[in-house]
Amino acid sequence: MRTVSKTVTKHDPDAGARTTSRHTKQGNLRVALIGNPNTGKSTVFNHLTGSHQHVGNWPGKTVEKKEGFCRRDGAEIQFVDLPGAYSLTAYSLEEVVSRDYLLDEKPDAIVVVVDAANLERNLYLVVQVLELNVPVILALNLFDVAVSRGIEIDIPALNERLGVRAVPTVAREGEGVDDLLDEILAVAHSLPGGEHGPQGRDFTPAAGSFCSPAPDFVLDYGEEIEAEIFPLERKIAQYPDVRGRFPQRWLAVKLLERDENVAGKLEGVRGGPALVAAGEEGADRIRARTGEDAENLLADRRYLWINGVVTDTVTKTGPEGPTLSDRIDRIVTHRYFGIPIFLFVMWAVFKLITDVSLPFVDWVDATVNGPIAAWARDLADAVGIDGTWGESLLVDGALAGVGNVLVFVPILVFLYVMLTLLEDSGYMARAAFVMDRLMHVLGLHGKSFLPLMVGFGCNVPAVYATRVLESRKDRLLTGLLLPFVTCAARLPIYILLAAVFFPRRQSTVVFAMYLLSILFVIIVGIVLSRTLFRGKERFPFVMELPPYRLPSVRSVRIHTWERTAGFLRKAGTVILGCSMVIWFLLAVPVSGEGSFADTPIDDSLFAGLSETVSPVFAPAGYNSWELTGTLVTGFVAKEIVVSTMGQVYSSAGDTGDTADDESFGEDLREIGKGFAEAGGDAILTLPRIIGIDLVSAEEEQDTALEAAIRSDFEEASSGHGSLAAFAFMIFVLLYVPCMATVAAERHEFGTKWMWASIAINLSVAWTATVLVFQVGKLLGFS
Amino acid sequence: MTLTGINKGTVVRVLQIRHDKETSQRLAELGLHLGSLVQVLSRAGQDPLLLDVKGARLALSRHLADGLVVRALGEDPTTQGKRRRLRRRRAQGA
Ligand SMILES: Nc1nc2c(ncn2[C@@H]2O[C@H](COP(=O)(O)OP(=O)(O)OP(=O)(O)O)[C@@H](O)[C@H]2O)c(=O)[nH]1
Ligand SMILES: [Mg+2]
Repeated sequence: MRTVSKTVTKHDPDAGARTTSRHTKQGNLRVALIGNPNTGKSTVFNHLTGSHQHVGNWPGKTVEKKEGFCRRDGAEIQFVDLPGAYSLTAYSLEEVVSRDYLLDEKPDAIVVVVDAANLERNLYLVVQVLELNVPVILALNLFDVAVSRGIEIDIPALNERLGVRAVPTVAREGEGVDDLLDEILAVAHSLPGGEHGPQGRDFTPAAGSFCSPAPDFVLDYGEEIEAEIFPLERKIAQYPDVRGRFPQRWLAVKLLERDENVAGKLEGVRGGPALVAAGEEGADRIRARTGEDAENLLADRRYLWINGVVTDTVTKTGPEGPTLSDRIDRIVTHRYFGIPIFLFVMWAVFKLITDVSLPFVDWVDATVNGPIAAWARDLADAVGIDGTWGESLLVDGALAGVGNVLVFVPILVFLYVMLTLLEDSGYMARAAFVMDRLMHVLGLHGKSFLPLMVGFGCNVPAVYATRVLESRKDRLLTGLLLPFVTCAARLPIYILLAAVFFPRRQSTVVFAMYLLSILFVIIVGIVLSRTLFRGKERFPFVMELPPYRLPSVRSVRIHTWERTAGFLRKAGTVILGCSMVIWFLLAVPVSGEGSFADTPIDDSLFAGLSETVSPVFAPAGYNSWELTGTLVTGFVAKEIVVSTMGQVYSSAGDTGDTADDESFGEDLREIGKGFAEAGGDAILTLPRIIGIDLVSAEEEQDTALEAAIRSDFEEASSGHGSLAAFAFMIFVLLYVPCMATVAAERHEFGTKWMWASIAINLSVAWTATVLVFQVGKLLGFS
Repeated sequence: MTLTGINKGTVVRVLQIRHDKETSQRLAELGLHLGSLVQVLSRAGQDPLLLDVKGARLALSRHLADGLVVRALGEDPTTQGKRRRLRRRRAQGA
């Protein structure tokens, strides 16, 4: 299959209005992919279009509609991957997206991707889609799972009962996807307009008389309900505006269900309110006659009908008894073992991410600041900007900025690998199940714990991970708590300061920072859920747990690469821009005799600006422009705190170009060797998964730097250096994590909440740091 | 009796759904509707219940389970038996 693909994300509320003209012009077919959550829609979509949409083994990954194209036999088909939905009675936000797409944008055909191993429940959506009277093709996906469970489906019989074409597929392996495409094309050719696709059409019977596989699906709801559907349909037929927008019978059923969404859509349409009223009267009569609510009765009838189909078409010959998945669940979701297992898994993941990636972090760090910095200087030499501010901008600005991003990458790669494994195995959904009760204390559901755990690696992907959560309130609250989770980037600061001020209790102090982080998440969570988020709607926790699956190497590779590349793109722009600004501030003299890019750091604009901020930290014991300055640069990224310390405390200023004399080839060899060593170190860390490994993280410290840090803290706090340093670490723990996190928060939650998050972090951090210093002083700590 | 009070391993039939319209429709599309058969796979303390609903595994908060009035049909450790029973009862009940 040759595919030409292009993925477009659209946020276009009234695209439906223009779709007709657009697609008439291009003459291509628009096919929507719908189905229950986690049935493999995105996997099918990726195969058809060559895209890389998010795939994983938990319900609710796709939350926006995604478009892609597939070219075959000269025809271009536009596919639209939609969020999973359990029915067309849209309940959650992403289900509204799917339903609105089907109703408002009227795709030419709909592929319903169903879980062949779980046909009965899946057919509930299928019958509702069939009622739309749009050509439907059924993808019986996860067919391998069905086969392994001994489930046999009589496909011809199913086709006949539903009036559709069903194609067995194993989308993960790409099996059957070609056949599916053939069926789609067959439908395309049978549409009015033939070869070149259909022209614009509506749901009126006259225009809809295409010889498609499913033009006239009718599910018999039984006498009491049919007696109401028929008059409603007649009434709908009287209003052309309504008739043109919705399939009649489907609309009649929705009116009897008193569907609010549909009522909303009908509001401004001529005849709409009258129809809604007629629907309510009909529902009342049904209730009076049967004693049941119409919507409950409708659901019951649908299942009754489906049960008949399933009884006739599905046979199960597989082994009796619980599946392997059930057996694993008995342990993993166990009343007492569940939480310990969850914590162990999370802890192991966290340990693996930090321990295994740290040698690679050091390697990237060494490579960027060694050979690559030297090459940059050579390059500056070659183009004749050697020794000018241009070189400084290149090396101290751009390179330092990009370098900081690159230092993140090894951590992120391992994080993404672990996340993909958690996702693809199906454990992620179990974690939510197990942690549910504990998270209630914070006003959240269990699912929120996962982004928080991710945050220990890096807050940036954690912000995006909040998409796991269904309700906006949960996403927001979790997003506001995330910055309090101490990320890997804060670790070097703790380690450095603990080495200076608490050399004998270094590990205790560092570990205390992790405990404090958890404590602050809990405290802030309790406070926020009882103030800002009090009484906000809570999504009732109901979630399907997919069966466990063995993650495939291919999907881990693709995911990790996609996510890493995405991070590089995003963080690269933000961090690069910010580091240029800081370089500029350090280069501009505001006093003394220095000139641009050649000024003592004390005279720089940076020092000047820091001095205006530093009095704020007087009650916390570290009122010095150097320390304040490091905190200010720490806004950009926490690694910069340590590097800024190195800059502002070094009187010599020059780091020395030791790598300069080596040839390019030698440099490359060094880099390769460093990578091999990092790999070796990483493997060595594997068996040592106990405690935070401070020994290897602590490199030969510049004693001059240590002394400078100590004296500055002692001076600024007038003799309470250690206490001030501890207060400083707490501020680092609690204040705004980094620009990339802020940018991610803005992207996910909007500008208003981004500022709210910054305000919460700064106020909590300042209050805590001042409290620690003042109370500590009273208690006599130094 | 509501679903919360049902023991592990028991198969029940849903008799009544005491939830608002939206919630009951949501439950219905997940397979929990009037007359549906459900097996409780695990119930522990304040945790959500783990259910077998039409062959799928469903985690359901206790709040939601409280609103489901059910009748116990007896213990049935295997899903397979449940499915067979489901079909038989459906055939008889309809
Ligand atoms: N064994 C097997 N696994 C499959 C098949 N198709 C998809 N999967 C896996 O099923 C899981 C769900 O696939 P997705 O494509 O993410 O499902 P989706 O329908 O897009 O899910 P949402 O967007 O969350 O609604 C992934 O772990 C896939 O690797 C299949 O045919 N066989
Ligand atoms: Mg998807």
